[in-house]
Amino acid sequence: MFQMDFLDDIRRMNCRQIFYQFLNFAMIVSSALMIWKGLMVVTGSESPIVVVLSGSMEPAFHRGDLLFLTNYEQEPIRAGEIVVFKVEGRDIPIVHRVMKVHEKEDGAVKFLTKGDNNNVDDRGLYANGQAWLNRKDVVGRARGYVPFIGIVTIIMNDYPKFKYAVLAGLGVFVLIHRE
Amino acid sequence: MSVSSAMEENPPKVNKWDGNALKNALDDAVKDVLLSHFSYIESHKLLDGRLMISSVAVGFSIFALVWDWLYPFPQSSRSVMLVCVVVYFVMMGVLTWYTTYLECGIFCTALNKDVAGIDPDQIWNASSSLKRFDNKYHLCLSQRTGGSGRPKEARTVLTVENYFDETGKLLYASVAKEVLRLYSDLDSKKN
Amino acid sequence: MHTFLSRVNAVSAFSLSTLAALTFLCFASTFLVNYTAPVTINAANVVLKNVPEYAVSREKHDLGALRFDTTADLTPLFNWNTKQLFVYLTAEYETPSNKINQVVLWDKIIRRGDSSMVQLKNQHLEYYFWDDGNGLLGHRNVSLYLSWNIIPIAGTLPLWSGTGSYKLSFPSEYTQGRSF
Repeated sequence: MFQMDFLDDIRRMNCRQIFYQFLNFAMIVSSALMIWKGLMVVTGSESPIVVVLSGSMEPAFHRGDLLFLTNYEQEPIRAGEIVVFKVEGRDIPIVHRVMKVHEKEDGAVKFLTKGDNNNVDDRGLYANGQAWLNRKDVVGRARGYVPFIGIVTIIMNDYPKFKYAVLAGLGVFVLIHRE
Repeated sequence: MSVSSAMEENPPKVNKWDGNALKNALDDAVKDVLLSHFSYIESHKLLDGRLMISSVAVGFSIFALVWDWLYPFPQSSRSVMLVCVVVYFVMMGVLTWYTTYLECGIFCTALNKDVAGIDPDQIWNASSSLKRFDNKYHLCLSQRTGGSGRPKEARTVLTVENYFDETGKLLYASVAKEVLRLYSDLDSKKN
Repeated sequence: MHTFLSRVNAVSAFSLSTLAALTFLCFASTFLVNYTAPVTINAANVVLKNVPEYAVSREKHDLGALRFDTTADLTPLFNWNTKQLFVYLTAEYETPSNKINQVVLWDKIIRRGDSSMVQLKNQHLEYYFWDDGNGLLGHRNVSLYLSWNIIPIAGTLPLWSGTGSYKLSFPSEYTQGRSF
């Protein structure tokens, strides 16, 4: 009986209103997309918000914490900073701390990272034969931190069926709900 | 004069506790009365405007998505992305302005087309509002002639529970009575 | 408030917005705080070798070693939004081949509730003091300073340095032999 009332609403809509329902859905998705792209432009990073995936920075960051990144060219990379980088050829972003920095006069910089919770530095993680990271490997510098929230993303990634169910449910709800 | 409409025969049943559903049902009923009792034609200009603005906004966001996929950030796509984002939010602002000021709760515009084609059309606008958790449905019927002249307005407040029975079924006849009363009020009012 | 669903909806919306407001308050209240503290650093037993750094290449690079003392009272840095401090000792210097060199020599994590006084005497280095080349020989101007990264409960992750540093000099000759 609950569902029949829902669908009644739909049947009474003419095609313009149905089109508007789809547009409504598209606008919600677009708003999220535009906010994300806007953040990308403002922070200069291709991934302005990342979720911590491993425990290599404990006890500072645990799995599921959220980090806000910036990637301004003018800001130099200095020892002690927490950077998020991608090793060439691999897609997973790694969140570790910079331990050694060597910068030349022209600005070319090479640096070494290490996770707080690891005993050794990251040379084992870099590509074969690579001893240092460069500016271009950096996705961003961690500037802000919020605990726990990212667990949702981790759950969605570990259980993709759950993710699709939630997304489908939300989509249907938006499409059916009249303003 | 009155042609029996599909809604009159089979009035909709809604969840009587859902304020949104009630407003939508009443809106639909008022629209149905206006269109079926008189031979008016519905004008979709308002809704079309809204659809247009929304489509433009969504178009920009799709463009941004495609551009980013073709030319990954951060090279040249930065300025394109910035433009798209700004335009998108400007469009959202325009849409909000449009719905708040231009549309103003109007859910139906009906045109009384002159048969002879000489006089300008009479434009009837029906607008309504129902506050959250409230039971007072405000209905306003306005009539405007052609492109000029001040609109004549007639308002009424309906207590929602009088127009739905216990199961949530719409009492079409009562709604029709109210609408026709408003209509004759307007018609008889001098300019 | 008549169905279970709408009650769950209302309660979760309210709790989410309260959590969000609290998180924002955490961030906003400690956004502009100055996390400086006075620090004293001393170093001794400075040794310099020139050996191949196999992790990087086959070439010989300068490898320094020293023992250091440091005192710092970091108690004022722990406000209601500080989860932990990552304290680290950095050596910064300039060489002909590199304009800026920074090497972290020692670090420590001080969690909320741990003793926030840093008092070290004759402390070993935790990490090898490799140079990217041979620039440490006879270097008279290596600065040692103590810095910290504040990890909040929620908010920004600032880096601050202590006031007070030590100027380190390296000998003009390499020390031979295998032991430090």
